[in-house]
Amino acid sequence: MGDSENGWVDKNEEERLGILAKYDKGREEGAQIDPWEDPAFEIYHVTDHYGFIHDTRLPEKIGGLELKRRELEIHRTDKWVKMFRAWPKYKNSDKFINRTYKGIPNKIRGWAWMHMLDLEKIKEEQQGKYDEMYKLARLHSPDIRQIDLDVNRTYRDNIMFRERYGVKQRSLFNILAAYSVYNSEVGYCQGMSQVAALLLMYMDEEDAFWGLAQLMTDPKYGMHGFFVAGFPKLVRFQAHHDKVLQVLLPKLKKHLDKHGVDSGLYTLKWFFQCFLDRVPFELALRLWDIFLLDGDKVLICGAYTILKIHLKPLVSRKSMDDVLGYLQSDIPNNFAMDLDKAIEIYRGCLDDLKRKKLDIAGDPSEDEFPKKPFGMIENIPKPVPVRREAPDEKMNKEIVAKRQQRAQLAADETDEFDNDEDELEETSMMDKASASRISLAATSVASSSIADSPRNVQRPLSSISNISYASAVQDSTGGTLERPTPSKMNGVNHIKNKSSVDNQARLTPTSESFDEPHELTRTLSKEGVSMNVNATSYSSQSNSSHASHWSSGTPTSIPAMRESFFRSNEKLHSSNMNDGGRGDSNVSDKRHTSSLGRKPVKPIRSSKSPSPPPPPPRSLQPINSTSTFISHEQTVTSTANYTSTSVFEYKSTEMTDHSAYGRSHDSMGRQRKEPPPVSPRKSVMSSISPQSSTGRSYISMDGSVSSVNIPGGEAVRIHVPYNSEISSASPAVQSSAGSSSVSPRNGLDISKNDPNRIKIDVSTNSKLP
Amino acid sequence: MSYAYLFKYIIIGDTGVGKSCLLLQFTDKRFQPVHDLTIGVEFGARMITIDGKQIKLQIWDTAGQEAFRSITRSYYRGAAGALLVYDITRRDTFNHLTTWLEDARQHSNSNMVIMLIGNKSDLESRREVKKEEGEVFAREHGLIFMETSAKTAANVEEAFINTAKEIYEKIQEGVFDINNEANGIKIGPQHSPTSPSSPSGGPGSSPGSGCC
Repeated sequence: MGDSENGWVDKNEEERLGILAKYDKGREEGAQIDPWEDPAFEIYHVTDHYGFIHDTRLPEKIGGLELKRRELEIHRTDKWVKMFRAWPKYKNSDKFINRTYKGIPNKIRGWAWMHMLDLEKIKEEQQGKYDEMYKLARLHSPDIRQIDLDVNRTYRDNIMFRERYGVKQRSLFNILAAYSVYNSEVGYCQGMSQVAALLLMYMDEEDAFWGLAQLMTDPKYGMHGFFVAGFPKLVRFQAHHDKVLQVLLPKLKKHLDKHGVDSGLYTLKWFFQCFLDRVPFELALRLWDIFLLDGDKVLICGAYTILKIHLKPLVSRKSMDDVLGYLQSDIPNNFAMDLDKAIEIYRGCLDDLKRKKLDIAGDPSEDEFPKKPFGMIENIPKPVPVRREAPDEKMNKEIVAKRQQRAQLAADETDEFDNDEDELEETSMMDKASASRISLAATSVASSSIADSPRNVQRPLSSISNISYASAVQDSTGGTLERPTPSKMNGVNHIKNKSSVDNQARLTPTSESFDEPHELTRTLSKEGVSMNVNATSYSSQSNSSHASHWSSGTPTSIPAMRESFFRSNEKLHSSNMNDGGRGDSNVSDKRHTSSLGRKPVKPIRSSKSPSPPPPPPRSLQPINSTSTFISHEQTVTSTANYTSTSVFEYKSTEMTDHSAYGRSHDSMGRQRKEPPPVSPRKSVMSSISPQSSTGRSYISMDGSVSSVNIPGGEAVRIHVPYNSEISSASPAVQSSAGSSSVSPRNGLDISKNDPNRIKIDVSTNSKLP
Repeated sequence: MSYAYLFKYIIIGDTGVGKSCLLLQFTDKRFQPVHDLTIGVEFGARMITIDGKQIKLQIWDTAGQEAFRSITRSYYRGAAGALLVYDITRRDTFNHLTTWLEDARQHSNSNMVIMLIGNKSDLESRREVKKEEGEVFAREHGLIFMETSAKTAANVEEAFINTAKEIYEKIQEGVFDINNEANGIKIGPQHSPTSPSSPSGGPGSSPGSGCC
């Protein structure tokens, strides 16, 4: 102890002497000076105000005009700081608007943008979500490769993104990956990297993530519509841009048409990235200030302004090459106009457009808005863990028999469920719906009970690929499934490896909560019967029966699961929903096929469904949802190596959510809006949970414990034997035991406090109170 | 600058194979190790000489990401030549060639000359696709083939120029209807054609105007 202390003192002393020696020596020959410590260090001389590195040295002395500008900026910075101190007062004031148009001082910019995007609030609402998404992305983002390629070429001329795998490059990678699973409809689309990188120049990682999320889905910015497949908003904006030119710059329009310069050739980057890379960076920042203030009309007006400013040179260029060359390189490299002047012209142009009622590019189409809930993975591209060779048939049977035995024993102990369990096995839930059963949003857990008799079929544990959650509500009195309705919902499906033996100790360890809204009807109408929607009606009792079977099963790869899903869908269309027995045989068939380890079948997305659905026996929606749900269950059947935790949350309409969900037609408003109410949602909600505004269910299917939280529900506990043989046999177990720590805080803490919580505990022994 | 013909090219292939770098090397004779990513389409042009005639190449460089195919497809039409690029250090970019080819054949005119390019030939140590494989693929699908390096400029000129030569030959053989702009070929404004078909589209009445 004393020795090491001495050593430490010695080292300190040595360092101290070293420093003194350096100062004594000064800059004499032989002085050791790190390159970055020296004023000759080249990077200091070629890097501009915004961190961009230039090929040539920048002037060491700044000119009078620039000096003035900087003084003004310092002066303005003070004003902004004062304004932020009384932010609520200034929030929507003319002063704030005017000052934004004058350009937000660069030192304040990050702060101002965060206020304008309301990031503090979102971060608070979505606490932990970013980490969750990032972790999910690491496992399941299908866009990692593309993101990596693009991070490597995004703003590499800026000091922040210069170094490969440097801090900001890593942040950029992280937020793009996280976003790609957060908003699965867009995933990652080229163009987003610049936007995210810009935010990262002014914010830290998590803020930038939520900034990106806001830009994408707040209707005011609506970048989702630009980046989503088919680029619906781009089409709308280009058409509107053409109209603006026709009315306000007809001569230029004619000139461009004559030379075949279609607006599609030059507006893409203008609109996708709000002029980044297509005007000088400093001007882009000014336009971004206005973008964050006014929303997407800056795109229309900015495009008009740029063309108006450069009208003469454009008209004087007499070929497509020259015109495009001018737009592509001359404008960004040599804008030839003072920025303040340009913004002044912009304001004039905005007035022109308003006068002609052209400042807004018409109404957005449905396609421009997200339809799926955020934060869930649906088409898992690759199995993350290992696929093991399937045990041979005989061994399989033995294991299953053993397991069933144990399951039976456990089930017997839990008297509350005995009766219902049997009942469930023999009847479809469509028929069995009753007031005592609780309808719940679709979950993977729920899905198991329907199709088959759990006793005859292995019910391998957990893992769900390719799912989304939706709620289908079972009417508590009528017993029929209601048409799935828009409901604000959340869900996640987290897949990880089973952590073997001490499952019991981990109580729903990987619950993850989702706070994203979803309108199921839209999804359904578009997707038809698709794996994206696993709506189901849910019986609390059913849990016991199939939960018990999840602890057993054959390991199968996810691609195989996908295939089995695909096939099962086909069969289900022709099979009777109520025929549990036949469902069984289907399942076994499927499992059989899947364990052959076939090539992965492309994730199914609606239209490619192998056979058309038969006329529904009852109403279309419930059948759809249930059949999907059954098929999904097949998917579940085939994996044993995974542990999955699904969390599903829905809230009633009064709950606010940051995401720009639903349609808001006053999207241009300056004020932040609450999400627009969707009326059908409300009615559904009331049927689920008349008393409470929020309900969550956490379903962990790791073979150990399930906790299901059902609003207005009652407590359910299930004892299920846990088969450690199987789970510990999985090679993937050890490798990913660490992942069990994936944000348990999100779901669990909240659920504990929820009075309506129902808990289903599934454990290896029956010591539950 | 006047030219005898103008050929439209399109560069296609997976993301990150070096499409933009090839274009930059061809038009500017420089290599940017880290090129900005292409979103939608970018444009480049250069003049070359074939058979003593000035030919302008107008080149459309496209985004490789799948999502942008709906946009880039519209540029197939009206292209006389296509450079289909893969990266010899990434097997998957080679594996996707069939899809690209189908797409190109489906959306372009049937006479479009397609040059298959295995880029990044300087990275021999990381090679995943043998040269022979590229050759076989090209032979099977009736393409011209070359391995290039946008970094060292190896074969870059040749790739663009050989494609132009092929197009030029097709014009001489009368395969291409040069009066149909959908073929991606235009006659220069001041060019008086030697071919029998008289150009009704290029009167050249306004000298100096590079009217397309």
